[in-house]
Amino acid sequence: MIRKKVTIKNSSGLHARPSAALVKLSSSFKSDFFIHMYGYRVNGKSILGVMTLAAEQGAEMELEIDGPDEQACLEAVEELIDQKFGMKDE
Amino acid sequence: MNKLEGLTASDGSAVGPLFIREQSSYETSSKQVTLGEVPQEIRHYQRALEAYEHELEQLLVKLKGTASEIIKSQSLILQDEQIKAEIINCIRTNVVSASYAIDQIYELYIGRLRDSASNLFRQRIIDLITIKDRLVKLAAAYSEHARSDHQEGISPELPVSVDATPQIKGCIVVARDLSPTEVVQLSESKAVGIILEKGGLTAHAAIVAQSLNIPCLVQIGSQIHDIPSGKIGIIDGEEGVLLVDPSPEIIRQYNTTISDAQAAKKKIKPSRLPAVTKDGVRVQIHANIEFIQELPMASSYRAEGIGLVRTEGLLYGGLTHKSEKEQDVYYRRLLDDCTGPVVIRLFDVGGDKLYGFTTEESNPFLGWRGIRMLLDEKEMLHSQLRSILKCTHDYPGRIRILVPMVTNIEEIHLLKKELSVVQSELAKEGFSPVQDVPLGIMVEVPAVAVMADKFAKEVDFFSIGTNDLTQYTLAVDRTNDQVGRLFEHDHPAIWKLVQQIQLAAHKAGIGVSVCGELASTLLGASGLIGLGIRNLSMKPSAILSIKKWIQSYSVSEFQLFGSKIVQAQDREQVHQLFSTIFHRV
Repeated sequence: MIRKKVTIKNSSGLHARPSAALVKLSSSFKSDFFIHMYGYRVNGKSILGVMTLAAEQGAEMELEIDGPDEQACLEAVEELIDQKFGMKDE
Repeated sequence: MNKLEGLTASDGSAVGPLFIREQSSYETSSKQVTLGEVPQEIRHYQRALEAYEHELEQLLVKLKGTASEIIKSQSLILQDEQIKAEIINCIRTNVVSASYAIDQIYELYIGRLRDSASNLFRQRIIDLITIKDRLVKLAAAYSEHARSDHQEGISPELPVSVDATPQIKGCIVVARDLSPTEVVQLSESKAVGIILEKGGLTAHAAIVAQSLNIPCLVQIGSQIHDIPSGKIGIIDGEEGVLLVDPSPEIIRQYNTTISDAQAAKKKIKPSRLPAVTKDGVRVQIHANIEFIQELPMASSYRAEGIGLVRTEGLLYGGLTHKSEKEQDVYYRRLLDDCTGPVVIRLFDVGGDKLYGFTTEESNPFLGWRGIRMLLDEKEMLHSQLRSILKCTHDYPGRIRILVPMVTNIEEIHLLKKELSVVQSELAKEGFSPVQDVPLGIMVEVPAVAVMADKFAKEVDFFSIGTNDLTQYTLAVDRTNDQVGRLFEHDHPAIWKLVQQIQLAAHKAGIGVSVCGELASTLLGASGLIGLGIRNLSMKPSAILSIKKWIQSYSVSEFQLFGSKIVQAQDREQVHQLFSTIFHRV
């Protein structure tokens, strides 16, 4: 299992479409994926879970990934967050 | 007459009777069920899901772009495995009806969003509420149906009465809040306008209203209670106001404005015409693109080609496009989704941008980047060249290759060598790449501008990158706050270099275009055209205003401006000339 802290960078935070992108990406990996934030632990493959974290720009969260492809999954998720979910800032 | 102020979320004006849409309310049907009914309730939930999914699919057909993405994310919420499991679990453990379980579980999530401090997230509550309400209604309808009709399985069709919409054709609909799906339904029922008590410009409802061209005002606030149902209302999108119960005279005025606007829309827009000056000189307008998503805008403004594809995004942006195979997909999609020539610039990155390279350069802009790096990183260069060349056969005559950060002639020779290596490799593998793909260079290092006549003999075209050319010529880092103001891409020194580059290209008979930001400004485009440039490439959002600008002047006016700016002594003079010649401030 790996854990890593990340920061949300896009200006509008993890709203519906970025959440959708994150869920789609993480669901393509076998590993279990959870996000820890504000004392919640939500399933990172659940759009409702992710969206209702209401993570804004600058929010810090901890990723927890466990499974055979955990490293690849972590890298992919980090990259998605880094590139602001491929969205232009709105 | 009453005038209520709001915010225009979707442009345009509308006249029609006001229709107050009450907040939908319902009672969750009998909470408790018997143990024997549990499997049946779970089925009702699943059927409700299917029915709703089907409704969303039908909506999707009518939408594109952001609006369709919004509906897709609604469907993703609906199909969320976690909430599905939680609802089914709730029905089982608490022995309750499907509609009650749906309500309970969705409320948990909605509650979390309500607690959020962010306005943007609170705006999304309505999306969840709508999904919940619709699901509850559908599930309750199925339960009701099953109870009244014991012959299980005979009629899985949903009773239509569940969502009987009142007659709203031609009305302006007033609501506290609407979900994106409701907006689409209203548009289907031919509502002419929408007024929301709350909502924001970024609310999903607003985005969908824009894409469906329905005038929409938001944030009308508590004034909503003063709006009488049935009275005539007018949305004035320009002023952001709702006029209630206007005089017949005012109604007539607005009706004329609206029909004029509709007529004007039907006429050919300037964006659809090519950029031709008043005296008939044609300027090619191309688009600069980084993401495939930018293509629809470029084509809607009739860009005649893609003058610059920034491929760096494939390296550190699009995580799925790193391999050669995935690059193939990207280039092909790009070529499929646009028309005309496509100029693909090879990876223009510095070592700092790449994975695994940690050596920091003290001056990355003067460092290991562009062609300098590509020639050292053969594997990366080859994968890109292979991917591009493989497309050439299927898109004959459309692909051009552009090399960034060239400083010396030798770099072009080395690159050509690599190109032929890749070409023969591909030929051996059974591909048939086109042999003479046009090869051009970015003119962004002053050395190249100064020696443009020599470089013009080596390549098929020039693309002037005015941003970097300015940065290197004026020795200013535009991102440095202390000197950023000295970054003047309309400085006379730049004009003189452009003139020199253009003359050299003209003499050698090769093409020259400008892809820097300068081309997307009115002053910049005027100067460039005046100096003889006939191909401008810019961000898609600038195309419309530049086209209109070119269409309103003669080439002689641009030429006059061009001949003066190369004589100017500073940027101030350039701007003075601009306002004198074009009567612009």
